[in-house]
Amino acid sequence: MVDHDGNQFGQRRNGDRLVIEPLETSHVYLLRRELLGLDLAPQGAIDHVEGRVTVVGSGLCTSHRRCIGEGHFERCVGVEQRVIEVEQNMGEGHSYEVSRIGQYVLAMSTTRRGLNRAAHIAGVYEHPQREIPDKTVPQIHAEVAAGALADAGLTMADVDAYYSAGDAPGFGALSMADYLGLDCRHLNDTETGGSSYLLHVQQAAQAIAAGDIDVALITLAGKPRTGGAGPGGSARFSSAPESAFETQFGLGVIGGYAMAATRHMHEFGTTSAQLAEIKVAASSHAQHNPNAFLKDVVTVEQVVESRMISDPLHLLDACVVTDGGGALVVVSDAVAASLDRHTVPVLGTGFGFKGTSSGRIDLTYTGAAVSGPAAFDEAGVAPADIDYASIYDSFTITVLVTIEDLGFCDKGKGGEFVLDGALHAPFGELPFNTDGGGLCNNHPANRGGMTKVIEAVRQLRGEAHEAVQVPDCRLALAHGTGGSMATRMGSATLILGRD
Amino acid sequence: MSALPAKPPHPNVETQRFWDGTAQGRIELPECDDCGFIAWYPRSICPDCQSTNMTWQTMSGNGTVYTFSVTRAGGGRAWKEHLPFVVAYVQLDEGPTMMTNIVDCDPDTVEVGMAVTAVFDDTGEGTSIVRFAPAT
Repeated sequence: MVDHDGNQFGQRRNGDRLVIEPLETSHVYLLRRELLGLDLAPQGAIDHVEGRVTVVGSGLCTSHRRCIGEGHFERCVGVEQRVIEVEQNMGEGHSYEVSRIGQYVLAMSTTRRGLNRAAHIAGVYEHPQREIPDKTVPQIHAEVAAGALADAGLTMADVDAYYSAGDAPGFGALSMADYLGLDCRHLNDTETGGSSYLLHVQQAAQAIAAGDIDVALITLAGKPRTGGAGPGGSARFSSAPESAFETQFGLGVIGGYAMAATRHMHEFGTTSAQLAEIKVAASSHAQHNPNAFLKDVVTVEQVVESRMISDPLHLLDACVVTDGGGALVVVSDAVAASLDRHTVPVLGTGFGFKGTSSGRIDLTYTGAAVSGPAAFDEAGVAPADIDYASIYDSFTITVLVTIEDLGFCDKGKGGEFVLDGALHAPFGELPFNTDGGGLCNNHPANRGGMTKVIEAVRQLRGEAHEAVQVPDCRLALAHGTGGSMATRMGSATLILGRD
Repeated sequence: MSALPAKPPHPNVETQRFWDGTAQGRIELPECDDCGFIAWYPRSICPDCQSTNMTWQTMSGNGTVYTFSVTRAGGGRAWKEHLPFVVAYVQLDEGPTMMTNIVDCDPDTVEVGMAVTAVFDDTGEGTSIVRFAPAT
């Protein structure tokens, strides 16, 4: 993207006018009205740089049959031209940090308060089994809860907040808190699929920062391998408003991600061999994990020659289906200081919802394009600072698109990024999923977010397997994608540090 | 009519008109009188400007394939005998993009950007499932 003088976007001087070249119809600007405030010119188009933004131009949105107006930025496609004026001064008053993530632009208010290292992850536990035919789901919740509390050096009696998601049976957090014998004053049952547990860390950290709670327990458990679908089964979804318009076409979970992969390949030239590199890296890590469901190292050839399930995704592009669970304990500064354990400060958090845009869907990006910048902003760090990343890997395409959205490479360049061992620990450019990830190690209850946090904590404590431990790992990212990349998703990003 | 399963939907007060239209071989969607937005899936309040002034409009039934996947395994019990089949998102000429199947062609000939036309698979209960076939 260059202006009419041929200058690269983002390198403007004060007060220069900038003309953005015509965009292809699938490009979306993630400009949220509520983040931008209400002082925009109604017909204004907007853009960027690291500085204050002034809106002066207008654009034509072909989808709406009218000029872009306030509140329409999120869905607009086919913007023909945007004229903007940029002021580089980070002045006082109404400033918005606007940044580019690949081909997307995100504008964010700079007034966010931040966590100020108020919350720390003090305990983590991953259930060691991958098939658990002889235990109940509540029992597994209780086992992982006990495991994480023991890891932190705390007990059930210390817990004053409990978090669960759609995998918790019955009344969710109410049923489970009762089963666990908890006495807490804060319950949270937010369900965003596999990303729920990262969002719970954000919510717990915010509650801790607000002084509401001191010790939060987050649990996950399920038995899709030996016990069938959990409480989030088909009955829950049959009453959804989208149900009649999405369940008539034989779409399986993998089919949705496959449609995202098809579009990414079409727009950016991504290949199956590039996607396979992601599975290869995960398998090279899983060989060192004695609990991993799949421990064999695979090659690119083995991935692309494995059975085609839903074009262009093969069997080995998909995560494993495992029983299991995990738990996290998030504590306040004061509690952390009282523990012998090496705790991990929560530096940055972000959440992004992305839906079908009421029929203007763009499958080439995820909610990470919103959650990632928010987390980096709160932590005050950049993608290049990250030593280790746990990235949600329901399928290989999930990782590739997320890497782009989080800003580790430009939009459309994920396929090139993953080549040459970039994801391999310990010395790749972005060591990822050193436990083997959902692709090889574990995807308990069909929800991979919990294990993403757990492995990031292991890396920051120096407790990953020695073959994959990133030397002097100081800053880690954990990311979850819940729901489906093909329809509606909740994306959650955490940036974790080291005390 | 394709051979794919055509399970009757459960129309409700917001979607009855849409499903009635399918039985007549039409895609009807509500267009917002105030902002011009046409939403997929149909609903009674404009998701773009929250107006309740929505007027049902008949779409042309023409569109292009935004993306697709050929499902070759799985797909659930009712779908097993129909493998391989094509799941897709089709963008209607009027703007909205909807989930569907591409039918009446060799799955391996489907491409992104391909022009398609709506076909209607009768559920036997006064409604039809909207699918798309290559435009002739």
